Amino acid sequence: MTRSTTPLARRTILAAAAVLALAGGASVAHAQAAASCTVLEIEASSAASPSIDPELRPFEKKLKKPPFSSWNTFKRLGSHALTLQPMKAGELTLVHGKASLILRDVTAGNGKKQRVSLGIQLDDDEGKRVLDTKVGVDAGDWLVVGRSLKGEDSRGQIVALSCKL
Amino acid sequence: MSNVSDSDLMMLADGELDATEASAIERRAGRAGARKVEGIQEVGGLVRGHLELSTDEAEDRLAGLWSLVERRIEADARAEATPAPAAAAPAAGEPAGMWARFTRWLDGHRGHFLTGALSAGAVALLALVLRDPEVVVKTVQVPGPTPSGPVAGGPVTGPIVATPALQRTAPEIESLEVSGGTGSVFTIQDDDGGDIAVIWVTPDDVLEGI
Repeated sequence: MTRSTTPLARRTILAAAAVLALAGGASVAHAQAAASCTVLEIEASSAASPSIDPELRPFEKKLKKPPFSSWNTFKRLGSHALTLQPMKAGELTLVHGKASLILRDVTAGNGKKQRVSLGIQLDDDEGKRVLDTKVGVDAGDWLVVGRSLKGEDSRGQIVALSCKL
Repeated sequence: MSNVSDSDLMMLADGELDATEASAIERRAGRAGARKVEGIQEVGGLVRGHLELSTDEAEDRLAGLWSLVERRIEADARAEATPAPAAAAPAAGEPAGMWARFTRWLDGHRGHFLTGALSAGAVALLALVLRDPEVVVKTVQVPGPTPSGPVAGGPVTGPIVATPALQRTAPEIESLEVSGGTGSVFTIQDDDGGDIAVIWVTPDDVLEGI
């Protein structure tokens, strides 16, 4: 009796371990995927007559919420598309400075959307590092990074980015 | 010639008549009948001699055949005496047939079946434990075209397709380093109910101006 029980339990444990290993490997496999990212640079300012570029109409509701509601004029300065390979930085030259993006990881599974982990660096016009952050967002969702520009006219720079797999 | 028939002479030559009849036929046949009987006996002797010689020759040929037949009979008898291999035959007292063989085979592999059943049960248990508590299904509006640029690909046309949506996860700021200013993190509501993370940097000199 003892002879048949011990190998049986061992085989059951091995089978369960194999299932867990397969389940764990599914999310790891996604980490090798590349991401297609869209980056928009927007300049925000205050003017006597509010205006918003036609290209920014899909963002109009969001731009009327704080912290963007302190401006009433939004102008699209540029749009960039780049493909990010895992752990390889992508550089972007902006009107107001420079941005660097890196795809750090991609995870998915358990009924949730695929998620990208990004490293974002933002430099000002003088090449000085303004922001260095690591964020995790669902693939396809927008993330907004912005800053107040120096000067007396209180303008702002908004960088909106979204990455899909 | 006498009035004795040939059949009587042949019976006389073969000795098939009793003594009275034989002597009567010999008298009636006369000398010619006696020569005829001698001839018949001579021919009969030749025929018998030939048959005996033929029998002797056939005996030599048939001897090999008989030995072949005997060997075949002995081989069949040995085959009947030796049983089939024990694996195919049921043990004494056990039922024969396909079902009995199948149940015997199952008995021999009971451990494997038990292991397989337990493994399948463990997998089913893992699937139940690890599955999502609920599946969220909602209508998702396909986002409009990106404001402009090479990846926008033109306006989206056609019907809005309702597709099962995977669960969304709120944005997460893993680290934030700001140089020469102050960083703030906001979330604003997206059109489809999700959160959009906003990281805002206010330079120190701007703060001083405020």
